[in-house]
Amino acid sequence: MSEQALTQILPYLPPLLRQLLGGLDDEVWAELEEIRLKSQQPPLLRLHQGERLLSEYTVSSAELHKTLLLLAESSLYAFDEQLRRGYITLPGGHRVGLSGRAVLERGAIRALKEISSINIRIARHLSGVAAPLLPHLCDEAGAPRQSLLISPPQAGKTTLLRDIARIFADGDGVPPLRVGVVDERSELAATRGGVAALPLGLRADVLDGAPKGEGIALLLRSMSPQLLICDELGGVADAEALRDAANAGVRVIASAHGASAAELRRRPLLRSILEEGCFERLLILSRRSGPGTLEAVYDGQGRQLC
Amino acid sequence: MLIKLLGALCVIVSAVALGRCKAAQFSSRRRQLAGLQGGLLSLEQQISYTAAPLPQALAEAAQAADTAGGLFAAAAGHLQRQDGLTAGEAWLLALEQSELQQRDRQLLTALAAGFGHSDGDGQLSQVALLRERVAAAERQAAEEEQRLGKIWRSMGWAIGSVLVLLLA
Repeated sequence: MSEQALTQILPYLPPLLRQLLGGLDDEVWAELEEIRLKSQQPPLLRLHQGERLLSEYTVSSAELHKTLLLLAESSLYAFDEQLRRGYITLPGGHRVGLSGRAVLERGAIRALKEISSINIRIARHLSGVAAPLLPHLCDEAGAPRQSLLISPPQAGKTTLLRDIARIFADGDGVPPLRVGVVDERSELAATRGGVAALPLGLRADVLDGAPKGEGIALLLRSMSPQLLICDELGGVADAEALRDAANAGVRVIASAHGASAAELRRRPLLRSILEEGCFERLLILSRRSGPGTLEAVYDGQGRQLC
Repeated sequence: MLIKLLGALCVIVSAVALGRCKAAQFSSRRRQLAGLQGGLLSLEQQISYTAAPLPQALAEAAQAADTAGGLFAAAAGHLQRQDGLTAGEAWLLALEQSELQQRDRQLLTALAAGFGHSDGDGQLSQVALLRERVAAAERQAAEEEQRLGKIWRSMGWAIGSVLVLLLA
Protein backbone atom coordinates (compact mmCIF):
# COMPACT_ATOMS: atom_id res chain seq x y z
CA MET A 1 0.00 0.00 0.00
CA SER A 2 2.69 2.46 0.93
CA GLU A 3 4.80 1.11 -1.96
CA GLN A 4 2.03 2.04 -4.32
CA ALA A 5 1.49 5.53 -2.94
CA LEU A 6 5.25 6.09 -3.15
CA THR A 7 5.52 5.20 -6.81
CA GLN A 8 2.35 7.10 -7.67
CA ILE A 9 3.28 10.36 -5.97
CA LEU A 10 7.07 10.71 -6.12
CA PRO A 11 7.33 11.09 -9.92
CA TYR A 12 5.34 14.31 -9.62
CA LEU A 13 7.81 15.95 -7.27
CA PRO A 14 11.02 17.79 -8.17
CA PRO A 15 14.25 15.83 -7.60
CA LEU A 16 15.20 17.25 -4.18
CA LEU A 17 11.77 16.75 -2.66
CA ARG A 18 11.58 13.37 -4.26
CA GLN A 19 14.79 12.35 -2.54
CA LEU A 20 13.69 13.74 0.80
CA LEU A 21 10.30 12.05 0.83
CA GLY A 22 11.57 8.88 -0.77
CA GLY A 23 13.96 8.50 2.12
CA LEU A 24 11.21 8.29 4.72
CA ASP A 25 10.63 5.03 6.56
CA ASP A 26 7.99 2.61 5.37
CA GLU A 27 6.15 3.03 8.66
CA VAL A 28 5.82 6.74 8.03
CA TRP A 29 4.44 6.12 4.54
CA ALA A 30 1.95 3.63 5.91
CA GLU A 31 0.67 6.25 8.37
CA LEU A 32 0.78 9.16 5.93
CA GLU A 33 -2.42 11.01 5.22
CA GLU A 34 -1.22 14.28 3.79
CA ILE A 35 1.93 15.95 2.55
CA ARG A 36 1.67 19.71 2.91
CA LEU A 37 4.12 21.89 1.02
CA LYS A 38 4.37 25.60 1.52
CA SER A 39 6.67 28.25 0.11
CA GLN A 40 9.59 29.01 2.44
CA GLN A 41 8.50 26.40 4.97
CA PRO A 42 9.56 22.84 5.74
CA PRO A 43 7.29 20.08 4.46
CA LEU A 44 4.62 19.05 6.95
CA LEU A 45 3.42 15.46 7.05
CA ARG A 46 0.04 14.66 8.53
CA LEU A 47 -0.12 11.11 9.84
CA HIS A 48 -2.96 9.01 11.18
CA GLN A 49 -1.85 10.06 14.63
CA GLY A 50 -0.23 13.47 14.78
CA GLU A 51 2.10 15.37 12.49
CA ARG A 52 5.71 15.46 11.52
CA LEU A 53 7.67 18.46 10.36
CA LEU A 54 10.67 17.81 8.13
CA SER A 55 12.44 20.78 9.61
CA GLU A 56 15.83 20.06 8.10
CA TYR A 57 14.54 21.21 4.71
CA THR A 58 12.86 24.36 3.38
CA VAL A 59 10.76 24.35 0.24
CA SER A 60 11.75 27.31 -1.95
CA SER A 61 9.16 29.19 -4.01
CA ALA A 62 10.84 28.01 -7.19
CA GLU A 63 10.58 24.44 -6.04
CA LEU A 64 6.92 24.86 -5.17
CA HIS A 65 6.26 26.29 -8.60
CA LYS A 66 8.14 23.43 -10.20
CA THR A 67 6.05 20.98 -8.16
CA LEU A 68 2.92 22.57 -9.57
CA LEU A 69 4.25 22.22 -13.10
CA LEU A 70 5.17 18.59 -12.61
CA LEU A 71 1.76 17.86 -11.10
CA ALA A 72 0.18 19.39 -14.18
CA GLU A 73 2.50 17.45 -16.53
CA SER A 74 4.05 20.80 -17.47
CA SER A 75 0.80 21.74 -19.16
CA LEU A 76 -1.05 24.30 -17.09
CA TYR A 77 -3.23 25.10 -20.12
CA ALA A 78 -4.67 21.59 -19.86
CA PHE A 79 -5.53 22.02 -16.19
CA ASP A 80 -7.60 25.21 -16.40
CA GLU A 81 -10.64 23.59 -14.82
CA GLN A 82 -8.63 22.00 -12.04
CA LEU A 83 -6.90 25.29 -11.24
CA ARG A 84 -10.27 26.96 -11.03
CA ARG A 85 -11.56 24.33 -8.63
CA GLY A 86 -8.35 24.30 -6.66
CA TYR A 87 -7.25 20.69 -6.98
CA ILE A 88 -5.56 18.23 -9.32
CA THR A 89 -6.18 14.49 -9.11
CA LEU A 90 -3.18 12.24 -9.63
CA PRO A 91 -3.30 8.71 -11.03
CA GLY A 92 -3.95 6.51 -8.02
CA GLY A 93 -6.66 8.85 -6.79
CA HIS A 94 -4.47 11.11 -4.67
CA ARG A 95 -5.93 14.57 -4.55
CA VAL A 96 -3.62 17.55 -4.60
CA GLY A 97 -5.17 20.70 -3.20
CA LEU A 98 -3.82 24.06 -4.34
CA SER A 99 -3.98 27.48 -2.80
CA GLY A 100 -2.58 30.79 -3.90
CA ARG A 101 -3.84 34.01 -5.36
CA ALA A 102 -7.31 33.94 -6.83
CA VAL A 103 -7.92 35.43 -10.25
CA LEU A 104 -11.47 36.71 -10.36
CA GLU A 105 -13.82 37.16 -13.24
CA ARG A 106 -17.17 38.76 -12.59
CA GLY A 107 -16.81 38.00 -8.93
CA ALA A 108 -16.15 34.29 -9.30
CA ILE A 109 -12.80 32.52 -9.16
CA ARG A 110 -11.56 31.92 -12.64
CA ALA A 111 -8.14 30.52 -11.79
CA LEU A 112 -5.43 30.39 -9.18
CA LYS A 113 -2.05 32.02 -9.63
CA GLU A 114 1.14 32.24 -7.57
CA ILE A 115 0.46 28.98 -5.81
CA SER A 116 1.73 29.20 -2.25
CA SER A 117 0.44 25.93 -0.78
CA ILE A 118 0.22 22.43 -2.16
CA ASN A 119 -1.52 19.72 -0.16
CA ILE A 120 -1.20 16.12 -1.34
CA ARG A 121 -3.88 13.91 0.16
CA ILE A 122 -2.99 10.23 0.01
CA ALA A 123 -5.92 8.13 -1.17
CA ARG A 124 -6.44 4.77 0.41
CA HIS A 125 -8.59 2.24 -1.24
CA LEU A 126 -9.56 -0.09 1.56
CA SER A 127 -11.75 -2.89 0.34
CA GLY A 128 -14.14 -4.19 2.94
CA VAL A 129 -14.09 -1.31 5.42
CA ALA A 130 -17.80 -0.77 5.00
CA ALA A 131 -18.73 -4.39 5.63
CA PRO A 132 -19.46 -3.89 9.35
CA LEU A 133 -21.93 -1.14 8.44
CA LEU A 134 -23.93 -3.30 6.04
CA PRO A 135 -26.41 -4.63 8.61
CA HIS A 136 -27.45 -1.03 9.29
CA LEU A 137 -27.41 0.05 5.67
CA CYS A 138 -29.49 -2.80 4.28
CA ASP A 139 -32.85 -4.32 4.96
CA GLU A 140 -33.40 -8.11 5.33
CA ALA A 141 -33.38 -8.63 1.59
CA GLY A 142 -30.01 -6.93 1.22
CA ALA A 143 -31.50 -3.87 -0.44
CA PRO A 144 -30.02 -0.55 0.66
CA ARG A 145 -31.95 1.78 2.91
CA GLN A 146 -31.89 5.55 2.47
CA SER A 147 -28.90 6.24 4.68
CA LEU A 148 -26.84 9.20 5.75
CA LEU A 149 -23.34 8.93 7.17
CA ILE A 150 -22.60 11.79 9.54
CA SER A 151 -19.20 12.57 10.95
CA PRO A 152 -16.68 15.32 11.59
CA PRO A 153 -14.00 15.81 8.92
CA GLN A 154 -11.32 13.15 8.37
CA ALA A 155 -13.27 10.37 9.99
CA GLY A 156 -13.29 8.21 6.89
CA LYS A 157 -16.67 9.06 5.32
CA THR A 158 -15.26 9.16 1.82
CA THR A 159 -13.38 5.88 2.19
CA LEU A 160 -16.54 4.24 3.51
CA LEU A 161 -18.75 5.62 0.74
CA ARG A 162 -16.27 4.37 -1.80
CA ASP A 163 -16.47 0.88 -0.38
CA ILE A 164 -20.26 1.03 -0.07
CA ALA A 165 -20.48 1.88 -3.78
CA ARG A 166 -18.21 -1.02 -4.59
CA ILE A 167 -20.11 -3.48 -2.42
CA PHE A 168 -23.42 -2.78 -4.14
CA ALA A 169 -21.99 -2.34 -7.63
CA ASP A 170 -20.16 -5.65 -7.42
CA GLY A 171 -22.82 -7.42 -5.44
CA ASP A 172 -20.32 -8.31 -2.75
CA GLY A 173 -22.47 -10.11 -0.20
CA VAL A 174 -25.61 -8.28 -1.34
CA PRO A 175 -27.71 -8.40 -4.50
CA PRO A 176 -25.94 -6.28 -7.11
CA LEU A 177 -27.38 -2.94 -8.14
CA ARG A 178 -26.71 -0.26 -10.74
CA VAL A 179 -24.93 2.43 -8.76
CA GLY A 180 -24.69 6.07 -9.81
CA VAL A 181 -21.92 8.05 -8.12
CA VAL A 182 -21.98 11.84 -8.10
CA ASP A 183 -18.34 12.57 -7.50
CA GLU A 184 -18.46 16.33 -7.10
CA ARG A 185 -14.90 16.77 -5.95
CA SER A 186 -13.33 13.79 -7.72
CA GLU A 187 -12.65 12.17 -4.36
CA LEU A 188 -14.71 9.03 -4.61
CA ALA A 189 -13.52 7.63 -7.90
CA ALA A 190 -10.62 10.01 -8.59
CA THR A 191 -11.25 9.91 -12.31
CA ARG A 192 -8.35 11.00 -14.47
CA GLY A 193 -8.65 10.96 -18.23
CA GLY A 194 -11.88 9.00 -18.11
CA VAL A 195 -10.54 6.18 -16.00
CA ALA A 196 -11.46 5.83 -12.36
CA ALA A 197 -8.26 5.49 -10.37
CA LEU A 198 -10.23 4.01 -7.50
CA PRO A 199 -12.56 1.50 -9.10
CA LEU A 200 -16.04 1.58 -7.68
CA GLY A 201 -17.34 -1.71 -9.00
CA LEU A 202 -18.75 -3.38 -12.05
CA ARG A 203 -22.10 -1.63 -12.16
CA ALA A 204 -20.99 1.81 -11.01
CA ASP A 205 -21.30 4.88 -13.23
CA VAL A 206 -19.41 7.93 -12.13
CA LEU A 207 -20.25 11.55 -12.89
CA ASP A 208 -17.08 13.46 -12.16
CA GLY A 209 -16.98 17.06 -11.04
CA ALA A 210 -20.67 17.90 -11.24
CA PRO A 211 -22.54 19.75 -8.51
CA LYS A 212 -24.79 17.30 -6.71
CA GLY A 213 -28.09 18.88 -7.72
CA GLU A 214 -27.46 18.75 -11.43
CA GLY A 215 -25.40 15.62 -11.15
CA ILE A 216 -28.14 13.57 -9.55
CA ALA A 217 -30.64 14.81 -12.14
CA LEU A 218 -28.30 13.87 -14.97
CA LEU A 219 -27.57 10.41 -13.67
CA LEU A 220 -31.25 9.75 -13.08
CA ARG A 221 -31.93 10.67 -16.70
CA SER A 222 -29.03 8.93 -18.32
CA MET A 223 -27.90 5.92 -16.28
CA SER A 224 -31.07 4.62 -14.60
CA PRO A 225 -29.33 3.92 -11.31
CA GLN A 226 -30.91 1.93 -8.54
CA LEU A 227 -28.68 3.44 -5.90
CA LEU A 228 -27.11 6.90 -5.81
CA ILE A 229 -24.00 7.70 -3.82
CA CYS A 230 -22.89 11.24 -3.06
CA ASP A 231 -20.57 12.93 -0.64
CA GLU A 232 -21.14 15.95 1.59
CA LEU A 233 -24.73 17.05 1.42
CA GLY A 234 -25.40 20.60 2.44
CA GLY A 235 -26.87 22.85 -0.24
CA VAL A 236 -30.40 23.75 -1.21
CA ALA A 237 -30.06 22.04 -4.57
CA ASP A 238 -29.02 18.86 -2.80
CA ALA A 239 -32.32 18.62 -0.97
CA GLU A 240 -34.26 19.10 -4.20
CA ALA A 241 -32.20 16.45 -5.92
CA LEU A 242 -32.77 14.00 -3.11
CA ARG A 243 -36.51 14.47 -3.41
CA ASP A 244 -36.27 13.85 -7.14
CA ALA A 245 -34.35 10.67 -6.54
CA ALA A 246 -36.86 9.48 -3.95
CA ASN A 247 -39.70 10.21 -6.37
CA ALA A 248 -37.93 8.14 -8.99
CA GLY A 249 -37.72 5.26 -6.56
CA VAL A 250 -33.94 5.43 -6.37
CA ARG A 251 -32.16 4.81 -3.08
CA VAL A 252 -29.57 7.26 -1.85
CA ILE A 253 -26.65 6.75 0.48
CA ALA A 254 -24.87 10.01 1.22
CA SER A 255 -22.66 11.71 3.76
CA ALA A 256 -22.73 14.98 5.65
CA HIS A 257 -20.42 16.86 7.98
CA GLY A 258 -21.43 16.98 11.60
CA ALA A 259 -20.69 15.63 15.02
CA SER A 260 -24.20 14.37 15.71
CA ALA A 261 -27.72 14.25 14.33
CA ALA A 262 -28.75 16.97 16.79
CA GLU A 263 -26.08 19.26 15.40
CA LEU A 264 -27.36 18.68 11.88
CA ARG A 265 -30.86 19.64 12.89
CA ARG A 266 -29.54 23.03 13.86
CA ARG A 267 -28.60 23.63 10.26
CA PRO A 268 -31.65 24.83 8.31
CA LEU A 269 -30.81 23.17 4.99
CA LEU A 270 -30.14 19.77 6.42
CA ARG A 271 -32.92 20.05 8.97
CA SER A 272 -35.52 20.04 6.24
CA ILE A 273 -33.94 16.94 4.72
CA LEU A 274 -34.01 15.18 8.07
CA GLU A 275 -37.48 16.32 9.01
CA GLU A 276 -38.94 15.09 5.75
CA GLY A 277 -37.75 11.68 6.81
CA CYS A 278 -35.73 11.28 3.65
CA PHE A 279 -33.35 8.99 5.42
CA GLU A 280 -34.22 5.74 7.13
CA ARG A 281 -30.89 5.41 8.82
CA LEU A 282 -28.48 7.96 10.22
CA LEU A 283 -25.04 6.60 11.06
CA ILE A 284 -22.88 8.73 13.31
CA LEU A 285 -19.15 8.14 12.81
CA SER A 286 -15.98 9.45 14.41
CA ARG A 287 -12.22 8.97 14.62
CA ARG A 288 -12.31 7.76 18.16
CA SER A 289 -10.84 4.32 17.56
CA GLY A 290 -9.38 5.25 14.19
CA PRO A 291 -11.24 6.56 11.15
CA GLY A 292 -14.64 4.95 10.56
CA THR A 293 -15.59 4.27 14.17
CA LEU A 294 -19.36 3.79 14.41
CA GLU A 295 -20.72 5.81 17.32
CA ALA A 296 -24.47 5.45 16.96
CA VAL A 297 -27.27 4.56 14.55
CA TYR A 298 -30.64 6.33 14.46
CA ASP A 299 -33.70 5.57 12.40
CA GLY A 300 -35.77 8.07 10.41
CA GLN A 301 -37.75 9.13 13.46
CA GLY A 302 -34.69 9.85 15.53
CA ARG A 303 -34.86 6.76 17.67
CA GLN A 304 -31.47 5.41 18.57
CA LEU A 305 -31.04 1.85 17.42
CA CYS A 306 -27.56 1.12 18.70
CA MET B 1 48.51 5.37 -67.77
CA LEU B 2 45.54 3.43 -66.57
CA ILE B 3 46.53 4.14 -63.01
CA LYS B 4 46.77 7.84 -63.71
CA LEU B 5 43.33 7.74 -65.24
CA LEU B 6 41.91 5.88 -62.29
CA GLY B 7 43.65 8.30 -59.96
CA ALA B 8 42.17 11.26 -61.76
CA LEU B 9 38.75 9.68 -61.62
CA CYS B 10 39.10 9.15 -57.86
CA VAL B 11 40.08 12.74 -57.28
CA ILE B 12 37.19 14.08 -59.31
CA VAL B 13 34.70 11.72 -57.78
CA SER B 14 35.72 12.64 -54.22
CA ALA B 15 35.75 16.34 -54.95
CA VAL B 16 32.33 16.16 -56.53
CA ALA B 17 31.09 14.04 -53.64
CA LEU B 18 32.38 16.59 -51.12
CA GLY B 19 30.79 19.39 -53.04
CA ARG B 20 27.46 17.63 -53.18
CA CYS B 21 27.72 16.74 -49.53
CA LYS B 22 28.13 20.37 -48.63
CA ALA B 23 25.23 21.28 -50.88
CA ALA B 24 23.10 18.59 -49.30
CA GLN B 25 23.62 20.18 -45.89
CA PHE B 26 21.71 23.20 -47.12
CA SER B 27 18.80 21.19 -48.36
CA SER B 28 18.73 19.04 -45.23
CA ARG B 29 18.59 22.17 -43.08
CA ARG B 30 15.71 23.50 -45.11
CA ARG B 31 13.91 20.20 -44.73
CA GLN B 32 14.51 20.21 -40.99
CA LEU B 33 13.07 23.70 -40.67
CA ALA B 34 10.03 22.64 -42.67
CA GLY B 35 9.66 19.65 -40.35
CA LEU B 36 9.96 21.91 -37.31
CA GLN B 37 7.10 23.99 -38.60
CA GLY B 38 5.03 20.88 -39.02
CA GLY B 39 5.79 19.82 -35.48
CA LEU B 40 5.00 23.23 -34.04
CA LEU B 41 1.76 23.39 -36.00
CA SER B 42 0.78 20.01 -34.61
CA LEU B 43 1.52 21.29 -31.10
CA GLU B 44 -0.65 24.34 -31.67
CA GLN B 45 -3.52 22.27 -32.96
CA GLN B 46 -3.36 19.85 -30.08
CA ILE B 47 -3.18 22.58 -27.46
CA SER B 48 -6.03 24.43 -29.07
CA TYR B 49 -8.44 21.60 -29.89
CA THR B 50 -7.79 18.87 -27.38
CA ALA B 51 -5.75 20.55 -24.65
CA ALA B 52 -3.50 17.50 -24.77
CA PRO B 53 -0.81 17.68 -22.07
CA LEU B 54 2.70 18.21 -23.38
CA PRO B 55 4.04 14.68 -22.93
CA GLN B 56 1.44 13.39 -25.42
CA ALA B 57 1.36 16.55 -27.52
CA LEU B 58 5.12 16.50 -28.08
CA ALA B 59 5.07 12.80 -28.97
CA GLU B 60 2.34 13.46 -31.55
CA ALA B 61 4.21 16.48 -32.87
CA ALA B 62 7.24 14.24 -33.46
CA GLN B 63 5.16 12.32 -36.00
CA ALA B 64 4.32 15.49 -37.88
CA ALA B 65 7.86 16.85 -37.83
CA ASP B 66 9.47 14.76 -40.58
CA THR B 67 13.27 14.87 -40.19
CA ALA B 68 13.02 17.14 -37.14
CA GLY B 69 10.92 14.58 -35.26
CA GLY B 70 13.81 13.52 -33.08
CA LEU B 71 13.77 16.79 -31.16
CA PHE B 72 10.10 16.54 -30.22
CA ALA B 73 10.40 12.83 -29.45
CA ALA B 74 13.37 13.40 -27.13
CA ALA B 75 11.53 16.13 -25.23
CA ALA B 76 8.43 13.94 -25.00
CA GLY B 77 10.56 11.09 -23.73
CA HIS B 78 11.95 13.10 -20.82
CA LEU B 79 8.45 14.15 -19.79
CA GLN B 80 6.94 10.69 -20.16
CA ARG B 81 9.68 9.14 -18.08
CA GLN B 82 8.96 11.73 -15.37
CA ASP B 83 12.65 12.48 -14.93
CA GLY B 84 11.70 15.47 -12.80
CA LEU B 85 12.14 17.89 -15.68
CA THR B 86 9.61 20.53 -16.63
CA ALA B 87 8.72 20.95 -20.28
CA GLY B 88 11.06 23.92 -20.65
CA GLU B 89 13.98 21.96 -19.22
CA ALA B 90 13.15 18.92 -21.34
CA TRP B 91 13.01 21.06 -24.48
CA LEU B 92 16.41 22.63 -23.78
CA LEU B 93 17.98 19.25 -23.08
CA ALA B 94 16.52 17.81 -26.28
CA LEU B 95 17.87 20.81 -28.21
CA GLU B 96 21.34 20.30 -26.81
CA GLN B 97 21.28 16.67 -27.84
CA SER B 98 19.86 17.36 -31.30
CA GLU B 99 21.80 17.74 -34.52
CA LEU B 100 20.40 21.10 -35.45
CA GLN B 101 22.70 23.92 -36.41
CA GLN B 102 23.63 26.41 -33.73
CA ARG B 103 21.64 29.27 -35.26
CA ASP B 104 18.50 27.13 -35.39
CA ARG B 105 18.98 25.88 -31.85
CA GLN B 106 19.26 29.48 -30.73
CA LEU B 107 15.96 30.25 -32.39
CA LEU B 108 14.20 27.33 -30.73
CA THR B 109 15.35 28.02 -27.19
CA ALA B 110 12.73 30.77 -27.16
CA LEU B 111 10.07 28.10 -26.59
CA ALA B 112 11.62 26.91 -23.35
CA ALA B 113 10.89 30.02 -21.32
CA GLY B 114 7.53 29.44 -19.72
CA PHE B 115 6.78 26.31 -21.74
CA GLY B 116 3.60 24.90 -20.24
CA HIS B 117 3.34 27.73 -17.73
CA SER B 118 0.58 29.71 -19.36
CA ASP B 119 -3.07 29.24 -20.03
CA GLY B 120 -4.35 28.12 -23.43
CA ASP B 121 -4.19 31.43 -25.27
CA GLY B 122 -0.80 32.38 -23.90
CA GLN B 123 0.70 29.04 -24.81
CA LEU B 124 -0.75 29.16 -28.31
CA SER B 125 0.68 32.64 -28.98
CA GLN B 126 4.08 31.50 -27.86
CA VAL B 127 4.10 28.49 -30.17
CA ALA B 128 2.58 30.42 -33.07
CA LEU B 129 5.21 33.14 -32.78
CA LEU B 130 7.99 30.61 -32.84
CA ARG B 131 6.45 28.89 -35.84
CA GLU B 132 6.50 32.19 -37.75
CA ARG B 133 10.14 32.71 -36.91
CA VAL B 134 10.95 29.19 -38.04
CA ALA B 135 9.03 29.83 -41.28
CA ALA B 136 11.19 32.90 -41.88
CA ALA B 137 14.32 30.85 -41.21
CA GLU B 138 13.09 28.24 -43.65
CA ARG B 139 12.62 30.81 -46.38
CA GLN B 140 16.15 31.99 -45.79
CA ALA B 141 17.40 28.39 -45.81
CA ALA B 142 15.60 27.72 -49.09
CA GLU B 143 17.30 30.73 -50.61
CA GLU B 144 20.67 29.54 -49.34
CA GLU B 145 20.01 26.10 -50.74
CA GLN B 146 19.32 27.56 -54.16
CA ARG B 147 22.27 29.89 -54.24
CA LEU B 148 24.97 28.19 -52.22
CA GLY B 149 23.94 24.67 -53.07
CA LYS B 150 24.56 25.36 -56.73
CA ILE B 151 27.90 26.96 -55.98
CA TRP B 152 29.12 24.02 -53.91
CA ARG B 153 28.06 21.48 -56.48
CA SER B 154 29.95 23.32 -59.21
CA MET B 155 32.88 23.86 -56.84
CA GLY B 156 33.15 20.10 -56.50
CA TRP B 157 33.63 19.67 -60.23
CA ALA B 158 35.84 22.69 -60.51
CA ILE B 159 38.22 21.75 -57.71
CA GLY B 160 38.31 18.18 -58.83
CA SER B 161 39.25 19.17 -62.35
CA VAL B 162 41.86 21.65 -61.16
CA LEU B 163 43.47 19.05 -58.94
CA VAL B 164 43.62 16.54 -61.78
CA LEU B 165 45.21 19.06 -64.09
CA LEU B 166 47.73 20.06 -61.44
CA LEU B 167 48.65 16.54 -60.53
CA ALA B 168 48.78 15.17 -64.07
